[in-house]
Amino acid sequence: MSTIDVSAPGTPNAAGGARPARPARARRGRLPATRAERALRWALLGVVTLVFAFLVIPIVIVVLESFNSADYLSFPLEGWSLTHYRRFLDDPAWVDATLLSAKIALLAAAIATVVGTTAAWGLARATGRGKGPVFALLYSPLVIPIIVLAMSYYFTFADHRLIGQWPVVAVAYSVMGVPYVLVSVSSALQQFDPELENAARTLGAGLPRTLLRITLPSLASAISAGALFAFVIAFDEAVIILFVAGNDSVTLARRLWDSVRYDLTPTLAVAGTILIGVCVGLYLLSELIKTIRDRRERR
Amino acid sequence: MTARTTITRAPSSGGVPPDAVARRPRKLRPGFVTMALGLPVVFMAIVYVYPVGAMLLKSVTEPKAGFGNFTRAATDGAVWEALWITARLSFEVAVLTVLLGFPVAYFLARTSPRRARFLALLVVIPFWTSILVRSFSWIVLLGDGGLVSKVLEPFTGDSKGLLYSESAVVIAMTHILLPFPILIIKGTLDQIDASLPRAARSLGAGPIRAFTRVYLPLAVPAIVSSGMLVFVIGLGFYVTPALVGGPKQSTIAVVIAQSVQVNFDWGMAATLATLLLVLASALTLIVRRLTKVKGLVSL
Repeated sequence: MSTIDVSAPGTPNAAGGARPARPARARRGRLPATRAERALRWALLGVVTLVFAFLVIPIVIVVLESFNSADYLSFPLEGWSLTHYRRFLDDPAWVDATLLSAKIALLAAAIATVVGTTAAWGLARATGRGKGPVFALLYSPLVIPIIVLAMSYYFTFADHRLIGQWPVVAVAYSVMGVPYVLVSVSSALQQFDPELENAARTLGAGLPRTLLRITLPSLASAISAGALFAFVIAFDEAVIILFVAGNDSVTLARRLWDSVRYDLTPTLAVAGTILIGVCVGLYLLSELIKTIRDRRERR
Repeated sequence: MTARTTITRAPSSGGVPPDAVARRPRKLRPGFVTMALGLPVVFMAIVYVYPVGAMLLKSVTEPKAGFGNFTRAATDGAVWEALWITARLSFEVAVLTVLLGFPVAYFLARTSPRRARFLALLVVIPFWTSILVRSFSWIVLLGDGGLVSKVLEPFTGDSKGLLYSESAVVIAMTHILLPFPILIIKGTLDQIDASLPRAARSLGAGPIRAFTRVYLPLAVPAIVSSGMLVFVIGLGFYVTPALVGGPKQSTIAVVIAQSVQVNFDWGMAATLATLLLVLASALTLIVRRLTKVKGLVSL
């Protein structure tokens, strides 16, 4: 409550003109800041800094804990060491879980990418009334509560004796990746001129050839961004797997969950750091792809 | 939209090509588009609609046909308790995320694009970090002797942490959901014409008046809809209340999981999941009416 009291009145100053970083100087054509305004502007900066700290500190803590030399979670750290990384790598249960997560996420991302891209192209080229419901169907996994999905898959897997089979888990995860691929590719298709496809076809290319040589290459970065998101979603999914893992599909997230419940050790922080590293790394990669694409388009 | 595409591409994608010349190179297209939409729909029907549908069906068939589960749920005090806790937690988190998110969104919308892009990364990276890892981090931070208890020690007088309490769940969920309001509100603030509050000021309004009467009303739709979005997502939260909260923080998702894992009561789990799905879908439809939520997949 107190936060907004400070910040909300603090915000008008910037609306008045000058940026918070340079409070004293009134810029040309703008009203000079009063003393109250300047104080409010600093208050805003303070609140924003605190919120950013709130956002980032928990992530940093996990990474720091993974280097803790103590055998228990402690902050500040007892000392720096790689003991827990060695322990993690020496434990086949952790390593297998990590590899399984990667395997499941790869398959899930591949399926989601094919399904999402195909549907995005179909939706962009189709006319008629069916489009709305089709989009709603493909988009809905994004808004359905995950525990509802977990129940659905748990019951279905149990009824059909599929519990513990990793390819089936990957197929279930691919459903959650489809909306991300769909949105990403759809927005790229809005920039893509359909007349290019028509031109290629007029020049004698068949539709498959047109799609492969003209459409797909210009969608490549949007498709890969969608695929990365689908991979990340599947890699750290942690609710469905609690019900469908059985004994044979213990992913990294599932093992992490079990350990958080039964023994809190810094080895957990190593697993957490790997999850953070993979997901953040892939996110940064997708941003990089996007930046490169934007540059190329501007040229 | 439909009208426009129909006019510009009538020869290519209409059901009946107007003349034979246009037909020859393009006859594949309607079939191709239908396939491009049909295959993803069939895929989703098998691996998504079927499991969810089967789960919904179980609410009225398991263990025997009828609405027995619903009357059982409606007369169960624990269910009402869980619904009340879930709604209260989600509401508190929604209010907090909006209060903390608005100043950040405002700052990001006002600062230079370059700095905004970098700072937005600090918002999105936590967003892409596994919920499980972030909940684990809050266990470390909020536990007895953890960082938060050490910071608060001078005020509270002991080093007892907040873990397994309602505040712990609220803090952790706020951390997890905060990126949503920040990114959504920023998207709207970016589009507000900066000359409007300036005009208000040159017409004699003070900075605070210009903010509250001109700027803020334009941001209200985004503030309300992002708050509602956080509320809806919060309703389905499982991992965080289960790990960071105690028995008193049993949200509806926790109760669903328990009825499967502890009581082996599929009928009850399916019923509560159905309720949650209906509630979340209804609220999501309202939110979507209010605003188009985009921007988390690609900034």
